[in-house]
Amino acid sequence: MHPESHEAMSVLFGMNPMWVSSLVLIATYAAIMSEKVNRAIVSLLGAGIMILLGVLNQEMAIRGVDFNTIALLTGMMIIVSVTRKCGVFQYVAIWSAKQVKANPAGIMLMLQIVTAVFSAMLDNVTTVLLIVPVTMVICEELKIRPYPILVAEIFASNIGGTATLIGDPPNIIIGSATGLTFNDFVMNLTPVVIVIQIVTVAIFHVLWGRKLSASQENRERVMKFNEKEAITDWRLLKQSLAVIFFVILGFILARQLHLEPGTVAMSGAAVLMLLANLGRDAETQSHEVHHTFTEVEWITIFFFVGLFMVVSGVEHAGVLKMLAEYLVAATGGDLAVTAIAILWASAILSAIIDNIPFVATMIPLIKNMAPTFGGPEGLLPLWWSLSLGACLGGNGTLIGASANLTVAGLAERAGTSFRFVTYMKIAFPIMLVSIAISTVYVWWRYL
Amino acid sequence: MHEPTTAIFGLDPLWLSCLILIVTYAIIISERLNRAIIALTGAGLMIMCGLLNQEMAVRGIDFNTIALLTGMMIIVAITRKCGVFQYVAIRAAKSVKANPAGVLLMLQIITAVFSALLDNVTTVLLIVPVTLVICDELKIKPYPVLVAEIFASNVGGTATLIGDPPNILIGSATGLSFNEFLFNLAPIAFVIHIVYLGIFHLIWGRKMRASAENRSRVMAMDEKKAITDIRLLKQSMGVLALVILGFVMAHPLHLEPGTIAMSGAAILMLLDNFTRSAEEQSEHVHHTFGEVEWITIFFFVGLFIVVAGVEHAGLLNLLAQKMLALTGGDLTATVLAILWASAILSAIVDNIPFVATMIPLIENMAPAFGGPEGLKPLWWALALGACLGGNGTLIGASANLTVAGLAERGGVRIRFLPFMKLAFPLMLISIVLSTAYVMWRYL
Amino acid sequence: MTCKHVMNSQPPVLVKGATVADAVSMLRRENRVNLPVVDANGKYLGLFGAHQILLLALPKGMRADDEQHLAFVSDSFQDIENRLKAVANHPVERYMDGDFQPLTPDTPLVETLRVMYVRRDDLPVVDPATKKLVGIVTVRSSLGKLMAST
Repeated sequence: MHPESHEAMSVLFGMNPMWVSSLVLIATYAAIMSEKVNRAIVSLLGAGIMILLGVLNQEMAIRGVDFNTIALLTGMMIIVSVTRKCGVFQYVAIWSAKQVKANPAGIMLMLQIVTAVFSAMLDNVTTVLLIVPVTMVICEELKIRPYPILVAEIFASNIGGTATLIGDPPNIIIGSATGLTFNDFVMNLTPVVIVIQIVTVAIFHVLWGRKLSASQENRERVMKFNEKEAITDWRLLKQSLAVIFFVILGFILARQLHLEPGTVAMSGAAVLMLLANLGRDAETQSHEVHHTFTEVEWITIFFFVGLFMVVSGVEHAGVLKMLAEYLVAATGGDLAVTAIAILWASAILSAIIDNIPFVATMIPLIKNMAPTFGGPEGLLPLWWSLSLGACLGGNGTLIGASANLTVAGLAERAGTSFRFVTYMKIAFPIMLVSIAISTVYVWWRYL
Repeated sequence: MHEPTTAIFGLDPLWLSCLILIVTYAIIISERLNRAIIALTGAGLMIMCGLLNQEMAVRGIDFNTIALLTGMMIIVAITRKCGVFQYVAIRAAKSVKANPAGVLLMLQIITAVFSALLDNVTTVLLIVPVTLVICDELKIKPYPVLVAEIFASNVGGTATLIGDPPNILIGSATGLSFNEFLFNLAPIAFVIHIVYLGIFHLIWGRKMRASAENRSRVMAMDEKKAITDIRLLKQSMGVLALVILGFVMAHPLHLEPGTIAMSGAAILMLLDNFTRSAEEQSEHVHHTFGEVEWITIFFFVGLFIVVAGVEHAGLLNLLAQKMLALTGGDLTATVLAILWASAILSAIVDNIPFVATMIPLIENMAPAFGGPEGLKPLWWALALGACLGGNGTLIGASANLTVAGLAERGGVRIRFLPFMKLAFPLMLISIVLSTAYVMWRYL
Repeated sequence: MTCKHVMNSQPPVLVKGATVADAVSMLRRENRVNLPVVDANGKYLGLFGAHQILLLALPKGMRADDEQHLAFVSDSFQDIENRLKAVANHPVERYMDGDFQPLTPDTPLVETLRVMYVRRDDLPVVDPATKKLVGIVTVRSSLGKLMAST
């Protein structure tokens, strides 16, 4: 289409592309952090400015977008938005509460496990969106404070999300950019995640769980819940679970089947929409499909699209290569120092700022370090450090991850308020514990 | 990446891809399943069967088209809230003293102009409700006005790069600019529109009557009350003007339409949101994105991948050779065949899959006609046939079905056969005019 | 014709500080579906009525996700009543709907009817200059006035 696309672009007014692109990047990130304007708008504007200033042309900008990530996110969001309607999440939560005889400490434990498992398979925000309302109902019937359980769920969702390729956006971007498979993520991250989850469960039990108590009468009430009534559509339930099963199987077998995660997720989404709409008339279908697409988190999707373009602008201008060289020089080209620096820096930074722009910038930067550490293979410890730091760091403050803010928002509406400092006093030390465990793990296994 | 992929079970990629294409199109035409689902499933099959890998599939998607459509949809979703379309329609009706024949004429002109600048479906979505209100006040039958609006929207949409999806597809694939579309298609679209104005006046306009009392009711309407948000109005008009200026200047600015439309959309969202609180913004932006016609967008995405599959398997190259053999490599015969075939086909099936398939097919003919430059008459013939052909039946274009759906809810039935009896001959007139134009100008 | 012509200019109102229990008894006494909430100076603050009370009767988790089904909850009449009793002394402004953009006395009649149709509710009318409540339009009395002439 554009033969000239591979040649260097001439920036407006002959300015230095390195400075212009860095300026756009910094302004975009500053605007995202200030939260004055919606992040999707900011990142799209940043991308637009990169193109208007001539740092990129449209074709280069589009090539900078990681469509595997976009397809994977969109596909999973569609699958979840169809699945959630059938009530399976409520079913599982109530069933697990009844398994422990509605004993509050047991419920806290079970809900953490349920949240962690769902978060590993689905998006964290979706998981908490589904688990928090039913948690509030259960707590209200038991007449216990929901706050401890909600905090434990925040941790479980961020920890669970760390375990798999699809659990948390940083992992999706890392997997997509490096070609690391679903199985690679499971083999390398799941073991340490299980350890961290067990430690966290224990901490919350000592801190809160053992002190929670509910009267026999209130526990009776929860035991009388009929979880089967939570299922609103049995046919849809079977269809969704079957599709999710095949999608996960697809992720596991991706390499053998020569398929990429984006294709697997989008195909799963198409098949599920097909099953859910079969037998309906044209108008109902069009209404339902439109509604399903509307439920995709477009703000997140466009945020990613814009961000990828902004990052590809600075990358193209050579800024990231230069930064990578500085970083390597600062750590003296030592792998252990670099891995641990990345782990701790991303944990602390992710606790205070959005981890997605951070990870999106770090990826090309780390890739530029490949020559120092003996090619792409040598970078593996760095990828796992980045993922652990970025995902687990989100637990540190209320604004560290979108799931935290979602829980706080839902709880607020139902009358339980979350305070920034109160939360941080408990959460930040626990987060540091998880990073200490990760350091030991990375050290022992890779360095 | 560029190596040929191997289809599963060692099947012949040519036949397999052809089969997937035909099944996909057959289900789209049958309308038994939502078109977005079917296109995405078809795309998934192409990849699963090994005809494409994900990277090739992504490369097959024309993101310029996707960005242009999405950007314009976002701009319209925000603009429509401020009531400017109602304002213009009422203003126009009052400017002809609410005389029914004049109202018919004015509404056709407005529809054509808006359709040239915006999506046809959006235009009729905005113009039909206010048309029904005006007709109700004048106590005249809305049917003639609505039919005239269908024609105006399809003819107006033909005039520009952004007016109708087939043009967007053609422009994006060939790199033909906004101005080239304007210079080559707007003149003939203008002539056809004038002819239609005359025809509709003769068959309906001159016979329509409204009492002085009913006309004075329309004259008493206050179009200023239709504007719900004057600040938003100024912002959206400003952005729309900038975007269109951007399209016109695209070439000297080295920008592509997709970038312009998406940047315009981002700026308008910024202006619309920056004074609000974070939570309100997030709700607002979510709602705006929700108003994008995602079904259309994903239909395009799936279709691009399906077409990339058959293209990659070499089917379209083969078909292009067959077509050339049939027309003897004669440019005139090929142009006229494309014009008429696309008009007739577009009247009965969705024109988007047709155009999406024709584009690579025509590109494959380049060697026979002396390179990409020689293909231009073919592109204009394809655009004219596909856009104008949509007028032929009620299912020929999405705008037609949208008008029919809205009218039905407003108690006016537009039936398939009565509409076709009138519309098909009228459509043929426009194709005859186009034939004359193409012959005179390019052959 | 404007909103003025179908408006009740002396509607029963809840004054800021009134409790949920006050609201329930006034709604029953006046036979209304909702009531405007005003401050001591007559400035309009929001609407409180059947819709808000129903939400208070449901488990709080409902407020976190209003699409959630509750078929699995086996609450008795007593449980639901207890939930309402718990909030009976809370002030209404905590739960009222303050988002609705009120009508003005000059809103055209057709537009008034349209908003009533979309909201399926009785609506407050507020003077745009002083922000004071000047009346309400109810579905029942508007229909009464419209049908009286036919």
